[in-house]
Amino acid sequence: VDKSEAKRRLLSYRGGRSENDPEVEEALAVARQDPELEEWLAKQSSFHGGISRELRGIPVPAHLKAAILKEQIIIPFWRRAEFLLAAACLVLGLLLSAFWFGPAGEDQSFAGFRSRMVAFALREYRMDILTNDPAQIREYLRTHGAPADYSIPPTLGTTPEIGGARLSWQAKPVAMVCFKGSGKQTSFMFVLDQRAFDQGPLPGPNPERRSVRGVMTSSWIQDGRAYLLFSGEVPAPVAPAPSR
Amino acid sequence: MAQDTDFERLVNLYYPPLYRFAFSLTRQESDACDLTQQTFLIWARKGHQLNDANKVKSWLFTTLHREYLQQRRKMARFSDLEFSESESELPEIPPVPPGRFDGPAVLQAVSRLEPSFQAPIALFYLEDYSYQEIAEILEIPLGTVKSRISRGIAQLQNLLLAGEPRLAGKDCRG
Repeated sequence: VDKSEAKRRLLSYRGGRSENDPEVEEALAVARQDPELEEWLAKQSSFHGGISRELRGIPVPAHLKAAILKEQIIIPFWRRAEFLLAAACLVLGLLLSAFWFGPAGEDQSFAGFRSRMVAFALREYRMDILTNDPAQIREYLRTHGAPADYSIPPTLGTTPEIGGARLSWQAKPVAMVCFKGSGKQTSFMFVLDQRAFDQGPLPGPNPERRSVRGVMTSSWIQDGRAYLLFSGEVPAPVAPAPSR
Repeated sequence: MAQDTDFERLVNLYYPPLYRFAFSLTRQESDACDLTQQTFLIWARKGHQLNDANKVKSWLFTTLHREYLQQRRKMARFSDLEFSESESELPEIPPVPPGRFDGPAVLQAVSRLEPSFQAPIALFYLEDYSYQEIAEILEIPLGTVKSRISRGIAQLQNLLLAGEPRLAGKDCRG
């Protein structure tokens, strides 16, 4: 075993732990007889210790434990509902909505809203109404208290609408309008009142592009409404309502 | 009631290491919180299926890692990210490992590691797990774990020695 091979074998050696690997044992024997290699090994050990300390020092958010324990409340409902399947679906849907859009401890800035909406689309989104008729989508949103006076941005041109939903973020109504993109792409437009944001900067009147969770988003303010637009290939929506 | 107490005890024991593992993978507080919460949610639903009480911790780590991979696969549909395994050889081992570094530099360097190296490296340093345990948690062969950890360490050292690593992605925390 030459020096370079010994280094390769000992690169991940953590003092006192050879992982029962004869190759490592052999390299250790070489290192014990080579002062330069021994010194290198000591520096490696110090490096490993330093990286461990830094990673173990990552601060844990104070609210996290309470948030996890709060979710546990879901479980008894869920288990009991095994006998009442229909009721369980409803409860689970509500709880999931609370999970994704709940106000507790969440970043209440526009950035928080943007991040939450992208996460919603990435994971499993739902549509309340499935139709290609823009007027029906607008009417549905209006009658359910969501912003319905939105303007379709020119970038979407004649892209057909496929549905929408009335969502909630920080207890504020959010309009979601979905568009059929090319191929399997779906475009999502979220609209809510700009006064919903208590903190943090808002986008300006010109679309502001920002990558969130790997998704390129565009956001802007128009006529008192905050808009968020992005496209992507997403799973089919959860339990879409039938066409109306 | 006893079930609630057990759950709380489990959360007390494991939520900090799970969060740190999640954060070392995502580098975003909100994503790491989501992953940690989701992991315990899955435990609450399926944990009773685990027969060996000694494996609770590794079960939680495995579950968190699975969730992370699942989310990355979904995100990959939105971007051009590649997750294929690098076939590159062991990067050149620096003559002397970096001697001084701080937390942000370490996190940035970990985030710039090849994706397949990140989880093994995080478990290696965060939890002092053996190779065998890491292999079981990540559900990959032992030889693959050894190789990824060696290559990951060499890459980490080179990144830290190269000075301030570039950010792999912009931090989205408002």
